[in-house]
Amino acid sequence: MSRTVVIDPVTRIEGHAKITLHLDEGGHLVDARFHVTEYRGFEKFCEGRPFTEMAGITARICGICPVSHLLAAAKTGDKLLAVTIPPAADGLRRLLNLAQITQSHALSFFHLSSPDFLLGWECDPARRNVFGLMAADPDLARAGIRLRQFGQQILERLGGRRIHAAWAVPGGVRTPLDGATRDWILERLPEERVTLERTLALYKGLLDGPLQREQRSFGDFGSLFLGLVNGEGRWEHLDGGEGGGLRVRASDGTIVADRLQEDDYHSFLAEAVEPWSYLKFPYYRPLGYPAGMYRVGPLARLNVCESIGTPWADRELGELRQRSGSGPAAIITSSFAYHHARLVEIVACLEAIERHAADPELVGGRVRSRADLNRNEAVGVSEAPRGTLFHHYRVDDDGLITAVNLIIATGQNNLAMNRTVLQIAREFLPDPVPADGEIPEPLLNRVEAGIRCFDPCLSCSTHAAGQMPLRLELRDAGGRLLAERCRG
Amino acid sequence: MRAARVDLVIGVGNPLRGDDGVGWWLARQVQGTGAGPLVRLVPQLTPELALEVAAARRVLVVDAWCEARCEAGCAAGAEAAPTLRSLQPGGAEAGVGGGHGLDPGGVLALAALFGGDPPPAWLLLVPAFAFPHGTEFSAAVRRQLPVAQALLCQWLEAESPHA
Repeated sequence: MSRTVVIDPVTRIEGHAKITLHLDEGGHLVDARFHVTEYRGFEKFCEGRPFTEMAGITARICGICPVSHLLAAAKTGDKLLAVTIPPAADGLRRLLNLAQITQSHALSFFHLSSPDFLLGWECDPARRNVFGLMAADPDLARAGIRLRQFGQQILERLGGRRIHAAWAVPGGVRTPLDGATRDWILERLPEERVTLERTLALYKGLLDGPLQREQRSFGDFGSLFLGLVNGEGRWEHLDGGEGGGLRVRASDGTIVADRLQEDDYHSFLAEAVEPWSYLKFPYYRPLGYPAGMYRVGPLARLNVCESIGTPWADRELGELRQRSGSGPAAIITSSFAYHHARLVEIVACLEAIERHAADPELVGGRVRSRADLNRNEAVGVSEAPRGTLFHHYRVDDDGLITAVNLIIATGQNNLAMNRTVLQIAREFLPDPVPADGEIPEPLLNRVEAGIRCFDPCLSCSTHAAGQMPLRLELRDAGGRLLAERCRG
Repeated sequence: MRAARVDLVIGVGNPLRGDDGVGWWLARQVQGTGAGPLVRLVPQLTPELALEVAAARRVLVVDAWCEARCEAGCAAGAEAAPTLRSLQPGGAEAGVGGGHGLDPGGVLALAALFGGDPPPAWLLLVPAFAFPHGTEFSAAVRRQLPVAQALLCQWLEAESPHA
């Protein structure tokens, strides 16, 4: 009789989910499923609203990455107006997104994930959190909190509030950068650079030491990667501009598709649905489902680009590729490298924030283009901290929304998250699993941590509200529950 | 040194979900009142808030209280009342749950990273009963508002940080 292991709920991620591990009649692991168990339905209740409200409405999807929805909605609105936004508005939106990526990555790395690295997988989960980190390395905990605060304060100073600031609007942004904020940003940057230098040194030491097994067993497999690049094939987080766009790259380094435009996303992306999860399963349409599995987010962005374009970030990218990449293009296939990629992206953000903050155009330039509705359909794209985000709206002649589709980063990583859980379970579960099916605590810890590599935001991806505790179930071939562990 | 610092009032909740907005509503009552406290309105307590807590003379967290009926003994038909209670720093067991937010004790504990002992802190809890979309409070919360406002005033007027 086959069996199923269930982890329910999953902790230290945003939203509600459980994991089931399925065993065959011989007790061998045959499948793993990451179930997202909540639903919100933003796409439906946006219908009938004016498109100009979409930035403000969709930003409410999430309290952690509202800026991503704000920017994607504003970009979609630009297209409905058929306007080109002023250069200062583009720079200001970029500054906003860079601050957003910084604060979100800082929360993921320092608050949610570093307790695993520093306190160990065997550590009691009640202590394996930011308070354990605080006891083990108070300087790191303090620096991580200040780094997140740095990103949050930029958001607050630009938008007037820390979250849900409807500052980016169709046609541009509401206000320019003020001189005091510019000076404050430039004054704080040296401290944040020191934080990153120290954190990168610490993390590389861990990769060389206790984290070696995790690097090869936490979702190390071939897949496609998708992300924005600019016209020179460099790292991009908001708009590829002239000659840029979405790039799809394979694990062997082959560029499968390049300069794809978001307006045509239906031609290269499709979304599958499984009956056991509210989270859809986007895939690369030409390869079909599930062979078209692809990954998005920090690791994907660093895999699809040729370089970042700033000196320190490019040095760190080079080292990351040397450490973890393979093949002529040094593509990194281990999902565990998402953590390292986040640190490299924070470096890139700090360098880019300095460049934008020093740009006088952002203080004195025109920040908004105005027009009436000129189109009835548009797709906007941006790179959220967790990956590529698509907003697709159809509107009537009065500008009222008639249809919405949102394709969220966490959903695009869904197939890869399932594959990661399966690989971790194969590495750490006894084979065959004994009939009494007790789930060892270190396995539970590692399965959770495997999901956490992707820093999933289920509030965004299913548009579900709430926390995300973890539940793991072990079930036999007939569906009988053999063992269960809950947390959160 | 701490006596020279300002008081901090943190309103927690979602003002678009009925009674959950009562923390914001109360905190807004003291916002911009001259030399009054610094007011923060937040949907959840996140780690960087510890920096502002550490810099405060004393702290009041104002929040909706979903568990009030159980604590008051709903079986006996008692109606829970707003309560002002001392807040202690929480440890690992108190704070991080499953998501990105902390509980009030957790924020207070993190504040210790930025200035030694965290400031004295209190929690003003207002029983909450209904969380529909919208900005209206339930009748039960509206009945409790005068008591909650009185507790807030009591805290603000206390001269000692150990009010």
